[in-house]
Amino acid sequence: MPKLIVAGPFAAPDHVLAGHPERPSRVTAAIAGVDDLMLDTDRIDLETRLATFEELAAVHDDAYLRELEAFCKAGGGKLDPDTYASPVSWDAAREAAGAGLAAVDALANGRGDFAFVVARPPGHHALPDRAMGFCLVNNVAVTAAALAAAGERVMIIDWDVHHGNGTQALFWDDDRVCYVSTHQDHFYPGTGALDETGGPNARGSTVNIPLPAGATGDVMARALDEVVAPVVARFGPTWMLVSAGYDAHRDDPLADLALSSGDFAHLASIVRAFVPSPGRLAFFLEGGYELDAVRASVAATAGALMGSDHAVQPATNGGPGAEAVSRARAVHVEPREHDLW
Amino acid sequence: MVKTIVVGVDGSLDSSRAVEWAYELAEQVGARVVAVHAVGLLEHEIGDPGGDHLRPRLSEWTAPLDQLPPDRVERRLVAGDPVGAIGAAVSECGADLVVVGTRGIGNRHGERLGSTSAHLAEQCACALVIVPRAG
Repeated sequence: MPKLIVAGPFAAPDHVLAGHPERPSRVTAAIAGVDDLMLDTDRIDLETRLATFEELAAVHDDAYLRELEAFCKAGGGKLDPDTYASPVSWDAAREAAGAGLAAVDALANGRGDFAFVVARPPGHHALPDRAMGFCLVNNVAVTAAALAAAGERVMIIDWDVHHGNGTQALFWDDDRVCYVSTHQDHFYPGTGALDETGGPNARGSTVNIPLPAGATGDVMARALDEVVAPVVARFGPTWMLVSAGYDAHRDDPLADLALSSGDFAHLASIVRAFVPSPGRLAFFLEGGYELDAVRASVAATAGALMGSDHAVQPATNGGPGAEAVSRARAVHVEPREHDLW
Repeated sequence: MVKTIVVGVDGSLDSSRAVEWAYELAEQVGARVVAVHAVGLLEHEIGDPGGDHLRPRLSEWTAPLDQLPPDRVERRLVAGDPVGAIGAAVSECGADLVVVGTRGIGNRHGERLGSTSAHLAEQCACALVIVPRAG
């Protein structure tokens, strides 16, 4: 039986704004999904570990981090129309980012086969110099940067319904990190078009697969099989990180894709097969705002990793998006003979 | 000569002053005005990914622009945060001036963090006018 490392739950109960959908109960729901698997001794829970300023500064501007810390300690407030901070948010952000670092350390030390970072606030919209889209610090990017600095080749697969503009921006011209995103097209944050493929030193290391509203699980799976699998083979990652948002679930109130919890089991099993060697796969909770959907989808994801079936909803199919996947394949796969890799 | 003005709009009092300022300049110099509202995560409604439900409000927030000829006024809803949305509009429109209020619906006056105008002052690809508050 494989072992699952769980970095969390880090729910940051005082990082909260009344009525806001990015709330502590999201983490409570996610960890309930892990609990549902009843893994007993096959589950390893990690302690809190705060990311240091230097670890955060690998991807964020020093000035932004100093201002964020001071802003929080002065009482916090709104950072953009969507994003808030409270007096504890600086430490919450450090805890969420540190959880990813602790997770990959534990994997690297052979303590488990897969890791799930169950923490908030989420991270994939956070830019080098500003907070955005509920995100203060880019958790998955902090971990990817640490791995890349240690000589690893990192692939980030982001299946959150929103494009991870922050993660893309942070590794735009860095050929050590390949960023892959499936997301709802023509939607927040307005980035993630097919022709966004990386900077001059990393052409082809950004792979966007925008999907139409209503896309179902079979379309997402096809995107992984037909577009991402060839990219994996070409890039040759030594680590795989997943920005695991669950707002592509059909019950999510903030978006329009149509996946079920069962689809996330299928997607996780596909991603598991991409991993180059055991103990090199970590999932990071990003979005997902319908609590039952988050719980069931996390259970389905972790269950698929562990080889047990916790996909309580059947997989979905028949939604639009086949043409979008074909277009993505034409951009990201077919013309690559001349590429960097 | 100013030909295209992008004005950031969010329904706040400060943004209303920016719209009025942009209108007055556009009238004097014959410029076109592109009013931009950033559609955030919290403004999304199921079945309306483009944010069309916000169009009546955008029209209301930018009512002074109705005094210009219709072919010199454009109202845009752009997904993203205000800094990114205004930056994208500047690139797409070839704007030569951006007008914003001192502070939108965000935070305390005088703080850089969370301030669209402060970020634009650092990053804007063209001239920027930050319209001060009254008093």
